[in-house]
Amino acid sequence: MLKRTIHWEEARAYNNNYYVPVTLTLDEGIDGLFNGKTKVYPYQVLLMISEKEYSREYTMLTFLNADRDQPKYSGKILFEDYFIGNTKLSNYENNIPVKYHGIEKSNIKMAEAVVNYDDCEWIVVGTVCVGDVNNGNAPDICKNLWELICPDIGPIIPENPYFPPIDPNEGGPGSPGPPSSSQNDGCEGITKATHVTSLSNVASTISNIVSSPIEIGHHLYATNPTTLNPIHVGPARPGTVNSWPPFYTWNQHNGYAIGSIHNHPNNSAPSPSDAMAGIYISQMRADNHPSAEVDFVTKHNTTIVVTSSYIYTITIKDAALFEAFQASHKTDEITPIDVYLEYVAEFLLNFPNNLDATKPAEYALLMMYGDAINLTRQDINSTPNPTLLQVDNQGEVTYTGC
Amino acid sequence: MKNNLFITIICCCLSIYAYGQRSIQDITITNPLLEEANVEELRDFANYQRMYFKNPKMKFSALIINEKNAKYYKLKGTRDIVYVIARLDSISTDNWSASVKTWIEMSTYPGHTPYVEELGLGRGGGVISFTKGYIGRNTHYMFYQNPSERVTLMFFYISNASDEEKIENMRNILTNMTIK
Repeated sequence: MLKRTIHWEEARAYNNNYYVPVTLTLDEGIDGLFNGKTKVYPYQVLLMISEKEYSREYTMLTFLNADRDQPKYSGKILFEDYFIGNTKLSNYENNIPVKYHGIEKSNIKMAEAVVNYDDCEWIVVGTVCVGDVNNGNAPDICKNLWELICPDIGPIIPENPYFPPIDPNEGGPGSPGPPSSSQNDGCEGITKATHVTSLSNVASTISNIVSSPIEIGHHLYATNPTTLNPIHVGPARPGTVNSWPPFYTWNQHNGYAIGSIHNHPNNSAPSPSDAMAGIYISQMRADNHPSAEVDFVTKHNTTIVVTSSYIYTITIKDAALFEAFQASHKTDEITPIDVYLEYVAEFLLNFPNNLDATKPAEYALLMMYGDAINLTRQDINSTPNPTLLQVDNQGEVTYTGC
Repeated sequence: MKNNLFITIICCCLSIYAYGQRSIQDITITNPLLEEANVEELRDFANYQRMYFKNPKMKFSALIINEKNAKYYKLKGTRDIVYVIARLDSISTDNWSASVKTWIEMSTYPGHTPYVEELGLGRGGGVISFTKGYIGRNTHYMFYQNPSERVTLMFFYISNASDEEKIENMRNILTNMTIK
């Protein structure tokens, strides 16, 4: 197995996290060398320690790109919960995540969920056990350790550890800085859904489009870049039977688009595109919009999808994750709808007796973006009383109030 | 006493309604074009596709093996895989045509027009749907309902064949199928 050596003396603080270099080496008792040369694992590894309200999170980052000459990182990063072992793999372009493949349970081969990764392979490198559980009265807890070995990427011994770049010019007002970390819990999602769908101009727009045989969309506009009320509903933008042409703007001339409403003529639940709809947050940063405006968008962006049965409302739960997903959605080579349909199939297979026709698609959306969005649903014919949609530990979709 | 009898009758009616549709385990599908797949061979489905699907244009699909809730077949003479599930929810069973449209709306790739073909199959109906020319995942969909057989089925057809070949194959699968 790989021995982990944590270089505490080289720890650095950045963006409310600590980063500590880690060296992984093959145990002396194990024959074999990486690439026939070294017992040191050939990729840069950092332990990231994040301060949470009541705890700390320990995440091990493995930078799978050998080219570390650039000031900003481009390539794959493997994130692993240091103690639990859950992993996710993301692609980065100049420090911005562009691809997200979801969290895999430990001991599950990534290849089972993510195909076409011909260049990488999961290999069991050992087993870690925690002993003396319950003062020795319980059996040891053991789990296999998996490492992603990517033979196409050349060997680099981490002589010069890569750290997330610390640029004193970044992060100030009006400049592209690190992703926002603002969070809105499920109750805020319900409150927003109730508020917005109760507005008379929004309610009348919903009534006007619900029976349309084609998709019709309207943008919702804020009064100015930092004032929400009153929300203005823009003109109709008719589309086709399965799409409408959104045109999000963020300027005084064309309006500050803080969301949208559109219908699904054949009653499907919101799609992955709907979940990620809105002004591109990364683009706002790139265009040097003040951080107050970016925060305003992440707090209030609202997407409403209307079917003949339900009104769905999507708001942002985790701003940083939403931004990462948005960027990934724009560039992902495995299209989100492919992933979405596979989750739908998964639900159909796991719950053959499910009697709610919309649940499989709701499940799929939550599995993909549930950490980033609040998704609510309310009956179209009743007083606004939205419920929050979540996936429970059994993989079932639940509908709860606040 | 009368009330109890009334409630019992209502419960029986509801049970018949709820369980009127047959599950995948309640039916036998026979089709001269299909043979049962060896699911062990499909467990590492990425590897299966790498070995047998040579068309490099399309990306591979994931496959969940759940023998209790699905039946897995191979299209004879090919490595194409077909798996079938039963739909039991009331929208799919009572308003089948609308539910197929919902699926098509949901599965249409942005900017594409879906290929949809409806087949009259005696007392039942069938629909083929997929996106022509799409080089994303290689799963295609077929829908089948026959009220007299009390079955509503959905087929997932995984193939890297040409569009025309796939249409022909899906058409043949549906028209040559017998349910018992």
